[in-house]
Amino acid sequence: MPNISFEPTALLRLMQLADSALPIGSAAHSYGLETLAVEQELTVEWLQTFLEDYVQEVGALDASFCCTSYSLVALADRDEFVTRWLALNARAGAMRVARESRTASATLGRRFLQLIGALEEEPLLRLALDTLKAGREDVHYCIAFGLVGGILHVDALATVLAYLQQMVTGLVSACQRLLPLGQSRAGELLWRLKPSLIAAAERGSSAAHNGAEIACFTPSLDLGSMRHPALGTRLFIS
Amino acid sequence: MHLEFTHSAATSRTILSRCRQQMPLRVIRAFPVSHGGALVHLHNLSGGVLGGDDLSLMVNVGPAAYAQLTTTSATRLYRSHPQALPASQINNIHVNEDGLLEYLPDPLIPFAGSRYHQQTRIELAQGAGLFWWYVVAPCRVARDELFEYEMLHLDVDILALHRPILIERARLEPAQRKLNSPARLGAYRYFCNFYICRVGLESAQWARLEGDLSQVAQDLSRPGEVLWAVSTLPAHGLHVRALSCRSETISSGLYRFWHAARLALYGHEVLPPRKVY
Repeated sequence: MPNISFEPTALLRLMQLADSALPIGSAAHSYGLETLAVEQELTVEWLQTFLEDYVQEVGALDASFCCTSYSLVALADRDEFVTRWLALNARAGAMRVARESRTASATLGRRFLQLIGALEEEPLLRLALDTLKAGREDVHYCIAFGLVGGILHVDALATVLAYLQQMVTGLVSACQRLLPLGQSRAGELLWRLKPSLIAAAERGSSAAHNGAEIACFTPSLDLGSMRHPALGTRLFIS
Repeated sequence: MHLEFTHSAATSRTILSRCRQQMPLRVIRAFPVSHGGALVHLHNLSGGVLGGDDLSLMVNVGPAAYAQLTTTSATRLYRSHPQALPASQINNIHVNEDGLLEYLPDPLIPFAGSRYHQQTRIELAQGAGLFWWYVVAPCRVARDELFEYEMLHLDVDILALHRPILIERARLEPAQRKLNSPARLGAYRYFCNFYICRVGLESAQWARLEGDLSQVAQDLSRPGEVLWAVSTLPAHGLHVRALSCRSETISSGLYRFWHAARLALYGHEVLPPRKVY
């Protein structure tokens, strides 16, 4: 396990970016968990297994996108940056089969970049935003997060881990509203997920560096997201 | 195997203009179907896919051509010899301008100990249409085999006008990753994916069709037995997915979606390839 070095400003910024209170609307999305809970396909008893498998599948995939995006910052050729930036987001969109989850990811990605763009005057960030706006393209949250991590000179692995940590924190928080999951148990679940997060980050990072692909097989979760619009009452947008 | 379908302006019919084949894959002939189409049955004369098999299917649907492909039975993926490479099938499909392909194979049945990798790449030109499904069984249920295959890798790439609209990478290795996880198959055994595309339609039309087919999904779903759902792709199409405890509910459900989508997109009813759905 490699060491992570932190420059104090970078650490504090990373903590803020990964905070669930970041005002981009992430708390409004369950990514299909609401359907699974309503249809009783997901219960508290299965939650540990579910979250570990979610991190193993979706987490590793998002980690690879996050890492790949991070590495785009080092490109000297701006045209190459634009080409690869667009291709990466198109690929992420094509791998998100459920419309609501895809839209959620794109909404959070756009808001995230806009938020950081308002805080930091960074040419690459401006280029990324302008490129997407010109082509009316989506930017996905994991990709936006990785790009910002690179621009702010946060450690690469730390960026990916922070992304994954905020991802599962959001899911557990959603579960607290959907299932009889108390605060202590929620905290315990998050505490015990650390090895899974690290494994997913390492797999994703390795795949990104080697140009390999990460697979993701979550049909039940995808169905939950695809069936979500038909729920009679919804707490979440997705 | 390499198949080419060509539309003849003179006869307003599609013909199988080229058929290059090598054992074990075989096509006998094309049958004419209504609306000028050509129906072809893909045979695997060895009865199934054996460990180490390296199969290839290339299909080119020419401009304005209409082709329907199906199989003669379920594709059995046999147990692999430990020393053999995984069996592999690569499908490369092109549907040219205003062409239409209905690729409707029977289910995949991975036997205990099988290892199989299927890669499918479909490229759609302007106006091209696609109806393609695949169904995966849990094993040989009648023999009480359940997820006893070693490896089932399924890769799908669908591109419209050279842009990816659907990418799937599934790595099913039941011994390493439990398929009964609520994140994967849960209590269900069969899964299917059905891709419906027509390049060039506006996103509003797809949104309407998603709404209509979602009603079909709601009507067909029975939690605990079978779940159906529909979602638009990023562009040019939509995706129907199901999880089921029984194969019969999937085949009959797929027919309902196919019928509804075909009517909505082409104004014609479906022409089942001599099968019972």
